[in-house]
Amino acid sequence: MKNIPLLLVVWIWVAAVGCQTTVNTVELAQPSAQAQELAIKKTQTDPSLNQRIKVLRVITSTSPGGYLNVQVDLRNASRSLVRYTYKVEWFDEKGFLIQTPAAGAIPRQIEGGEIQSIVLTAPTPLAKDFRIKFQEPTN
Amino acid sequence: MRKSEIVLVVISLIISGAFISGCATRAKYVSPDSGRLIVTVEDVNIQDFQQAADAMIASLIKNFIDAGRLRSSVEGEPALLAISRIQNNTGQQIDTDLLVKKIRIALNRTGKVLTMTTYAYGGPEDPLAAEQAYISPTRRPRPDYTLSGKIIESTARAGRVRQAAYVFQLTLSDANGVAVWEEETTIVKQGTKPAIGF
Repeated sequence: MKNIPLLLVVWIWVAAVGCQTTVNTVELAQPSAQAQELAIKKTQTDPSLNQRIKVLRVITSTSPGGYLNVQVDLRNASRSLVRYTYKVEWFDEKGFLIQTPAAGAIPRQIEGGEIQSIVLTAPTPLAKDFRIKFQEPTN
Repeated sequence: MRKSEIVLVVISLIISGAFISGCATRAKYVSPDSGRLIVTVEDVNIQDFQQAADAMIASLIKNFIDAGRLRSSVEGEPALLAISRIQNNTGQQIDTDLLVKKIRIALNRTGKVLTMTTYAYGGPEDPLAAEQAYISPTRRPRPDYTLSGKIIESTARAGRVRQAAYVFQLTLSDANGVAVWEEETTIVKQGTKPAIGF
């Protein structure tokens, strides 16, 4: 009878861990791709999301046609699936927001331990800068 | 009833009233680009169209326009696009312009593609412009490209969990009828069916 609380704790732990699946990743130790990595500035207002989803790097390139390409590499630092949304805003060379018809919060999910890339292409060559917002979905 | 009891009852009524009115549903404006929009499994929601259009626009720009594959029949002028059939193969009443218009706007803003309003599947979008174009002495332009597509729905159920997948397919064909760009975006939603309810 004394062991019942202990068994209960073990059972809850097993049940919780059993629901989690994490992702194992294999990649080259020395990637051959030459990426232009950018210094990023983060404004954190949701410490919970920030603890679980880590921005590993942000790389950019400009195509011959003048379109800005951006890739954001993320890692889920937790062991469980995380749902999030991201929203991108594009700015012209003077810092003005470029209005786009389809700009909305894009829902994504990332498994525990998974590394994920968000690839973005600017809607116009006028876009020279960007801002990405991450948020936990409310529904 | 003592005076203190009456005061207590009045205060309770005020507090209850405040709670009841606080819980009442009130209409509010929601930003269409926010993550707080209503999500339903059985419908293609407005944000699903946004998401699909966003993916289509990015692909069209990256894989076709920016790749230098866009050609105009008139040198130095934007290419002309006509909207062909966008088939709705879902069980819902869908206005496909919720998808197509966003793509048209984005293409228009690139300055490299213009959409014809006088030439489209099912008749001209702008009949007056079509009439004007018909009597115009200048050449009547033909589209360089046509955009066609399909929206497909696939549903599944396991116990109380329901899943709906909405597949958006678009094809850009050139004047020779060759598909020069194709893209497919899938949006999958899951939800549980209420145990009791309508």
